Amino acid sequence: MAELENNDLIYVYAFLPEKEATTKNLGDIQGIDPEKHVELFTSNELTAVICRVSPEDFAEENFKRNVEDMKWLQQRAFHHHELMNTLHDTFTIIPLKFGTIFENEDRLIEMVTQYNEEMKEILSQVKGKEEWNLKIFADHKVFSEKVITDNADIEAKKQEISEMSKGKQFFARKKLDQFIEDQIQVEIEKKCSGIHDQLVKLSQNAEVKKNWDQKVTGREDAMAWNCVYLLQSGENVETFNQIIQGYQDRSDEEKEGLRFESTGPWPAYHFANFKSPVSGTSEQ
Amino acid sequence: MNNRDPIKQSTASNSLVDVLETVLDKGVVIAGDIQVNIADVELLTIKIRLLVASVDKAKEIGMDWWETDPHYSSKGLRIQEIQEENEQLHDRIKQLEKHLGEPSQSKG
Repeated sequence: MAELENNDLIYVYAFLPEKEATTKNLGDIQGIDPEKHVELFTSNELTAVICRVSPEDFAEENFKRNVEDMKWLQQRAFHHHELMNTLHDTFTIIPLKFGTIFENEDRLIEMVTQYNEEMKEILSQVKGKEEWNLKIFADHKVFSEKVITDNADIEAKKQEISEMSKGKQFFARKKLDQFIEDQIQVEIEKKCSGIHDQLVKLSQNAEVKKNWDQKVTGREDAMAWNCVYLLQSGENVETFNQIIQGYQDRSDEEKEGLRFESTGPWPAYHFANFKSPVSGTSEQ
Repeated sequence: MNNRDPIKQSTASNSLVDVLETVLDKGVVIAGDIQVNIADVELLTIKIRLLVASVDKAKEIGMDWWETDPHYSSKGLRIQEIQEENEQLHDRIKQLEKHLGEPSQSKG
């Protein structure tokens, strides 16, 4: 009603082709600001999925303060994620990072105009595709046993150490442990990259990510592989998961100490980035 | 405790980590008028996990590391001191043994 009076900001989740937006309905969805609803806003053949948000929570200073509040952040981040999944079920989307906000419609239109071609190009690239994440965890105890059985020198070295003086023993052991640890890493990497090579062949694209620290995962086994794969929805995804299941079964049978965890389908968060506009400004 | 099934233990908490990792860190970055830069997603994830898990639960799943991390606790600081002292002592022993091992060396 009093549209002109309000100074709501615009939170943007994603972009989709206008053609898709006109044929399918979004329905009534609660926005990132719980008082508001999710809307569509079209300009230049692209439709932005937005929520008009109040400055009390989303103006720069307030937003920065809010993201320091873990509870607030967690709820909003999950909302962003869940809505993105819903959108991805129905539309071809460019998913934006959490927390992209415009001051008004004009600013949003400006952006869409500037990046128009790049965005359309990306949309055609990610159409019909989805992201899958594979994390492999390795039980170092199991690998350590394997390394010790595989390396005859280690037993000999242990024998040698047991005959040393106490003080020498301490440092020699430390050195040997380091050697074993290095061998474990080599073994694990060999295993993971073999699996990765096979999965990459199925994928349109892949991005190897940082392994999470045990502090983050809270697990006893260490993360040994973390990678996202861009897959054509359907058959490729099935094959992808069958391959992983196959490796899991084999690892269980042979007690290799590997745990495979795949998550998906995700919208193409990792593969929808575009460079600065070709015909853009001269600054940088 | 040792026979816990690692799959069961991790699925719920992992999805939290996965979501935060992806949503806070990834997705297309466009120059919005307001754009939060969440610098350390890893640390945030840890903070949120701590918030989600009660302390007892956190200990049960091995998330009690902060008690020994000097950044988070004074108890951790003490443990770090002890570890450092321990290492210094080992070095000292090493030196002494070296001296004992070479008694014939004419020293000052």
